[in-house]
Amino acid sequence: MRVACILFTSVSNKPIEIEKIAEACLRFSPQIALRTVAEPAIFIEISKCKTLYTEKGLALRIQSLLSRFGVQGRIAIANDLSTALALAKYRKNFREDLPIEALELYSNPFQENAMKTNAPLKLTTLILKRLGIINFKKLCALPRSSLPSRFGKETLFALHCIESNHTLHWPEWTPPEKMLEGQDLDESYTLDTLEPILFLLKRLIDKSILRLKGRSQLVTDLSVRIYQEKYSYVKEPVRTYSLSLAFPQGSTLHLLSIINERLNSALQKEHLEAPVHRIEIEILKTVRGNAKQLHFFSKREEDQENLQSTLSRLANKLGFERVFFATPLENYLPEKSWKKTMIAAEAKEIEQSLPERPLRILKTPIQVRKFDQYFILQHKRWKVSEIKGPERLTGEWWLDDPERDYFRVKMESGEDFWIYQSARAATGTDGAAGTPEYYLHGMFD
Amino acid sequence: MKAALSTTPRGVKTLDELRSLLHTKIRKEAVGFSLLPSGIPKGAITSISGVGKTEFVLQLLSEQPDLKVAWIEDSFSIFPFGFVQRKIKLDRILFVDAGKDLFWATLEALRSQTFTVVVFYGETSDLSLLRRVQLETEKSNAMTLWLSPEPPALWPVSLQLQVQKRRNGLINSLEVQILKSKQ
Repeated sequence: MRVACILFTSVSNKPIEIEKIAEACLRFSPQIALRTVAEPAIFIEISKCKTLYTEKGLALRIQSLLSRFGVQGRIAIANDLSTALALAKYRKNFREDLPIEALELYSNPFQENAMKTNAPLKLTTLILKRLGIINFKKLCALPRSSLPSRFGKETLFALHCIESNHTLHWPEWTPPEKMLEGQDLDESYTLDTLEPILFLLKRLIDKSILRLKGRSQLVTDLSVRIYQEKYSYVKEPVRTYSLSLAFPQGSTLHLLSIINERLNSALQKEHLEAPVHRIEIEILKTVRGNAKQLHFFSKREEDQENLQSTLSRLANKLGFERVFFATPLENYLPEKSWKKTMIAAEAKEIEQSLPERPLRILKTPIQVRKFDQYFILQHKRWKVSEIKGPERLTGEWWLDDPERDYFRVKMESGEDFWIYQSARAATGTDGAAGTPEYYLHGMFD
Repeated sequence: MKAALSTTPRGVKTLDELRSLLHTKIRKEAVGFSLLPSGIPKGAITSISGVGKTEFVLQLLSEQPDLKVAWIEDSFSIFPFGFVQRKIKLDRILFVDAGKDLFWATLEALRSQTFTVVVFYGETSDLSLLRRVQLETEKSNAMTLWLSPEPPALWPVSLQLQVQKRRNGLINSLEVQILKSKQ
């Protein structure tokens, strides 16, 4: 068995902060235990991870993780939990050099019922020190048979734990359900523009992303809350901005740019009314995001992530229906011959026997009048030089205008229009010839 | 002065030679195009106006099938089916109906550095906006194609083209006129 221990030296006794770091450490191993009393620590079981990373690499990555969380800690790796904890606490490299005080970490590393179990061991430790047994090396040299009578059963048990790499029961730990990162601000620190808010948000987003990476998840929905001082004139002390992402995100920078765009437009419409005293970011919805190995030579995954981030930013600002890829559909009616999609679908081959279609099409066809060789639209007229057609296109029978006769009309001034005549209007409702109605539908630009 | 010049590493001997060295135009890299012998410059704004401007762009895209495109319009009227008929694969074109945020969307597309070609359709005379587009275009080394109904006489535009449709018997062709070129 191999166990990595992270002993915190700068975090105050806040179990919730240690839990967040433990959540981020899930990326290294699924087996994690927490020590939340006195000197808090995280234990990571890494015996089956030799093929994934080296112990030295792990230590460096944990150190980087701690700095991103803004905490300091000591890291030690040993064959059992208690030794790893003791090596981290006493800053030793070898078990034999551990001081005799480390015995209590072997009998009770999680400090359960500390008052009851530690007292006899503390007395024994005092006695051993007076006898000149100051470290484990000297303790291990003592004959075993005399230990219980001289120093008590706790010492024998501790020595047994030391020598046999005793496997302790790991207390169960599960990451918290809610993912919330927040920061309280000093009263004297006034935030009234976006830049400092983004600066603080970046750190919170980074922590959230690290926790998500530990869970192998990507974020799809989140909310940002800005708490203002509750002055009498402030209508909305807590501003909540919810974001629903077009694509799941797992990168701090991309997520920050999306949030930047959202907050920028929101705060331009409604400025902050009072100083900010707290900022929070809550992850509302996630999806499974399998940890992938990036391609060593090509930047395909990075380009894809870049594209998704751009799409998310555009969609969040403009609306999801206004940013799209197009996919052709099999339908004769022009407005139904394609659809919008958020993901680029593989291009399909289409039937090439159809006459050439225009490149521009109006969302709503505009009625035009035909007079001799002219088409007239809103006081503008074009003289026709050539007409090709008709091409009859038929849609579903239940539509108001299922049949249309399309003409490609070239004007003397150079424009090239796609005009249709409603077949129903041309024939009339009772079969007699009706008044032909022409509609401008597209342009060959 | 002459003595100092004669010892420069490049062997520049006169002030005129030094001046011509400093004033050498840095030619932008251009993408080859059958309708335009000089090609379409990268890292610069090219404006295209006239009837047939969209056909012109599609001709370029069909000759360069690997380019990724962002197509942004203030009032979206593109018929994608027409693209497929002209052998343009739709999976490489992102369409954006930007409305009043036309230039914001264009800048975002350029800043992402994901698209080799950014096409935007709209009218403006705001030089500061165009200048920002120009700067982002240079930074990303993309081809920015500005489709406008009338040719814009604005200095951030490097190449200004006017397109017309011509009919030679049964064949329709595009005629391109260069109105302005900074190359």
